[in-house]
This record gives sequence, C-alpha cells and structure tokens, in this order.
Amino acid sequence: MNNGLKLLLVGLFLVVVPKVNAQVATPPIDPAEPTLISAASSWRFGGSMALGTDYGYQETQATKTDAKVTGPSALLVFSGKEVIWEFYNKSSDTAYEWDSTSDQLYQYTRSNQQLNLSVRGEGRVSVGLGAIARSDDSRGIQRKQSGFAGSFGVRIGDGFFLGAGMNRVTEKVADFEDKQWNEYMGGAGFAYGSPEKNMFRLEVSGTSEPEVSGGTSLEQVHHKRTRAIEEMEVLWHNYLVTVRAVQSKSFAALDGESDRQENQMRYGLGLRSLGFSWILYRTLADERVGDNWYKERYYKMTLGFGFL
Amino acid sequence: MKGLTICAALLALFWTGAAPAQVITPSLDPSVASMGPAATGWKTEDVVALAYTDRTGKREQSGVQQYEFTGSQSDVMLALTMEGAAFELASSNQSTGTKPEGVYDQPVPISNKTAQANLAIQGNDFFSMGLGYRTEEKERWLSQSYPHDRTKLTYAGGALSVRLGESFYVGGGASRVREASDLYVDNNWVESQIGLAMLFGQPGDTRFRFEASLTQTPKALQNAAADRAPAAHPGSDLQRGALELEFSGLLFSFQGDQLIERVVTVDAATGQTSSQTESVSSRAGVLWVPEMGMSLGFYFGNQQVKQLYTDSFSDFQVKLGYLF
Repeated sequence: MNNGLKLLLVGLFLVVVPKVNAQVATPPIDPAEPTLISAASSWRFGGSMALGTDYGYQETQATKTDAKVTGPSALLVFSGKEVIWEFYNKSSDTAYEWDSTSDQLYQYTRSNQQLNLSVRGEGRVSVGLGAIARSDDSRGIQRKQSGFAGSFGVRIGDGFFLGAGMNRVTEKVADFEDKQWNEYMGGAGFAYGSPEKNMFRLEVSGTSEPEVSGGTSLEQVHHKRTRAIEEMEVLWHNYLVTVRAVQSKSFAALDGESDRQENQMRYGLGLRSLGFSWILYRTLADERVGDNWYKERYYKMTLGFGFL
Repeated sequence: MKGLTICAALLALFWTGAAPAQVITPSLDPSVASMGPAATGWKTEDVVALAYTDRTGKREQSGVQQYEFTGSQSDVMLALTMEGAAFELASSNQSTGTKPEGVYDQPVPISNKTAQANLAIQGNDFFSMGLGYRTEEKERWLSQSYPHDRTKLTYAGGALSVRLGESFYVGGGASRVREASDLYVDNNWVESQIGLAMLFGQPGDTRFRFEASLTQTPKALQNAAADRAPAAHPGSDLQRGALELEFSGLLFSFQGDQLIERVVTVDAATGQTSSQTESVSSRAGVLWVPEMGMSLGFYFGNQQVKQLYTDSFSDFQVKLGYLF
C-alpha cells in the first residue's frame, strides 16, 4: 500500500455514530424510539408500531451536502404480560462520513437491525437478550457486524431504574481476520407518570467499546469509543418535549490519527394522544479537529401507535 | 513413540471453559446441569433449556501470537424431579474454526462433545445420593502427521451430599474414568470430589448460595502395547467456587475455578520447559428465573491456560429455558 493511500485510510477515521439511542435504563415516552438494551424494553407501557426518518445535511469547512431524506426506520413491539419482543430496523442509511485529515466527505451506507426479547419479573426486575446485525459500506470497506446481547434492569421504588448490558459483537471485513469485542452499557433513569396523561422521564447513561487491533490498516481496527448520554422527556397534556445531549469520543488507534469528540444536541416536540404519537426532532452535531470542523443538521420525524 | 508419550502428557488439558461448581448442591440457575450426581437430588425444578456460546481467544508463546481461536458451543439440558428423586440429562457440542498450521508444534483443540446423565434420590431432606455417567469426546490437531487425534473419556460414579441443619451441605463422590484414544493405550484412573456449600432461602424467595469443592485425579501411566503409544494422565487438582444471589427472580451468578495438572512439558524446538499446566477461569451471569415459565439470561467469562504457551479465551453465552 503506498503512503498516500495509507494516509488517506488513516485519515478516514470514522465519525462516531451520529444518531444514537439513550434508552438504557428506561424506554422512551416516544413509542417510535427503540431501546438501546433489551432489558429497558420490558418497562414499556405496551406494544407499539412506528416509523421514523431523518432529513438534513452535513457540512464541512469546504463542502455542504444537499439536504435529503436518510435513515428510514421501523419499530415493532409486542408486549405480553411479562414477555416483550422488540424489533428495530434501520436500512439503507446513506450519508457521508468526515475525513478529518483531508476535510473531505465520503459516502457510506449503513443498516442496523436489532431483535430484543425481555422478561419483566414482579414489576421490579427485567432481563433481556438480543440479536444484532449491522453493516457499514464505505470507501470500499464492507463491515458486517453480528452478535448477541444480554442485559438486566432493576426498578427501585416507584420510578427509579437501573440498567446494564453488554453486546458481544463479531465483525467481518472481507478476507481479514474476524474481530470480536464486547460493548458495555449502563444507565440510571427516573420515570414517573402515565404516557396517556402527564409523564416525566430523565435518564443518564454511558456506553463503552474497546479498541481491537489486528494490524495497521483501517480494515483491521475497531476504534475505542465512549459515549455519555443525558436525556429528559416531559409529557404535559399530550404534548411531548424532549432534550438529549450526547458526548461521543473516538480514540486514535493508528499512526496519524488523533482522538475525536463529537457533541450532539437533540430537541423534540410533538403530540402523544390516544396511543398515537407524532414527534419532530431537531439534531445539531458538531465536531472540530484542529482547524477543520464538521457539522450535521437533521430533522427527524416519528409516527407511532402504541397499544397499551 | 516417545514423542507421542510426551504429547499425551502435554494434552491432558483441553479447551474446557469454566467448569460449573455444582458438585454437592445445584446451581440456582435451574438450566445448569449439575457436575456431581448428588447435587441433582436437591433440584426442585423441572426444566428444559438451550444455550449458545460464542467463544474467542488467542495463543501466545514467548510474546509471539500463534493462533486466533474462534468457536461456538451449543448446550441442551433436561431436568425432571419426582417425589424424592431427580433426573438430569445434558449435552454440549463445542467446535472451533481455527485452522492449525504446521509451523507450530503445540496441540490445537478442534472439537469437544459431552453428554451426561445423573440420577439421584433424596432421603428425608437430609441426604442426596446419586449416580452419574458422562462421556467426553475430544478431537485435536497434534501435528501435520496427526491432524485428527480423537480421545474419548467415560466417567461413571456415585456421590453423596448431606444436609447439616437448615443451610449447610457437605459431600463427596468418586468416578471411574476410562480414556480411549486412537494413538495411545487405553488408560484409567479414579477421580474424587469433596465439597461444602451453604444455601439460604426457598424457591420464590431471596436466595443465596455458596459452594466450594476440590476434585483430584492421580497420575496414571500405561505402557505401550501393540501399535499404540504409552498413555500418561498427569495428576490434577481442580478447585471450584460458586457464589449466587437471587432476589425477585433476578439471579446473579459468579463462578471460578483453578485447575493444576502436575506435568512437566518440554518444547522440543526451543528446549523451554513448564513444570505444570494451570487453567484459571471465571464466569458471571445474570438470569431471570421464575418459579414457572420462561427463564432467560446470559453469562460471560474468561479463561487463561498457562504452560509452554498461554491461551486466553473469552466467551459470551445466551440461554433460554422453560420451567414446568
């Protein structure tokens, strides 16, 4: 591999996943949002089916993409007396990733599927299992990730929740040696009220992925990543207001790389009434590496129907 | 033949993973099969369960990574209880996708299949006495000349567990082990176990369990015969410990073990020696365990095997069961 190509690959240090979920200890009030760990889905208020999509653009110092629809997603939740199934699908999420070294944007296509199964016991504890399938195709590197997930949650008192879980992920990239790692998630949340009336939800959570390195090329490396997520939702007379902050950090693993940190804010406003929900979100994500900067500006709309 | 004898001694330890510590009391996770047949007698749940384990690891020697291990394991078990008696059946099938290379002369595990049956009776809530039968079939890559070495171990034995007061248990057992191999003369020895345990609480309530046990095997040698090499089983000590806490049906389980085999191994290529083989495993899990209905959960664990080389493994297991 010549030095130029190597530098280009090294420079193409993946942007941390821009659209994240923050439901580790408690499920969201918006029934269209998936949970991050399966145990959290067992605290849902019932089954639901929902659709969501993003619309927006990405911008660097030199380039601004056209605004377009990206990341259509679907969520289906079946809720029994104790057993909850949740299926989330986000396919053909085509957008751009930023190469902080060259300040260029390169197109990627991603998909993400997750199947969760959880059990709620005595209204106080929950345990969940999950199956994961993800793909990422960018710059000729096709990453296919699959794995299993395990998680548990505890409800303390009326409205305080703790949750933790791990994903066991295997990544396949062409003929390179498979990589495996564990992703860890933990969170604490407070939820009080009824989703059909007034409700308040606050959650703080964190995730961590280790570095896995099988060589010196980008295909052989999985970067260490951490995320801290804070989210608040208020449902007042069927009006939902949400605010979420995410701080994502990706750590350098190859020569020429540097640590990267992205700060993201998401605001949401919508209606939830008689089981129907319609929420509009605005996402602002910013990152700066040296003199180069990058930002994302997205709207997201979800339509859902929750059957209690 | 001499080379094969050394290999036999080298290879007693296999890719076994963390051994569950259910020698004289059963795990609070009803989907775990008991290692000791006497523990089966204290079971209170009828259960059928499945598990799948993803397992990866690597081998290093003198700072050089020789292999990346990838593999999986599937498990199935059934336990039935009756008035004063209990019965368990369990089976596991482990395989690796690792492709051994001729450049390294250390053995590489390829597959491991086990099957076991335990039958126990319980008397007056005071003692449990059981019989157990277990088979273990191993396949490993020894060298390019012996790419498929198959060994079958058969365990047949009995055990007794006695309850002292409300919560304390002591017990032990012995098994006759027979080893049959394509390359080596048949071998046999006696494996003995002792253990003590504490178990507080009743099913459906908050429960706590602790168990510690020791399993020993003596050295066993057999001379060469016909066209087969002499067999050597090194003496071994296996210490197991388990700590489990269950409340509101949520079970947290921790297990650890240390296996030491008293065998001197020599690397023919480098002259390096190792005075013993040591395997240390730890495992933790979280499960939902109802009194009846669907049980589910997950375990994650690590294992390190040290001798001339160091094998490091990590695994993740998901399991589903049904209590009826």
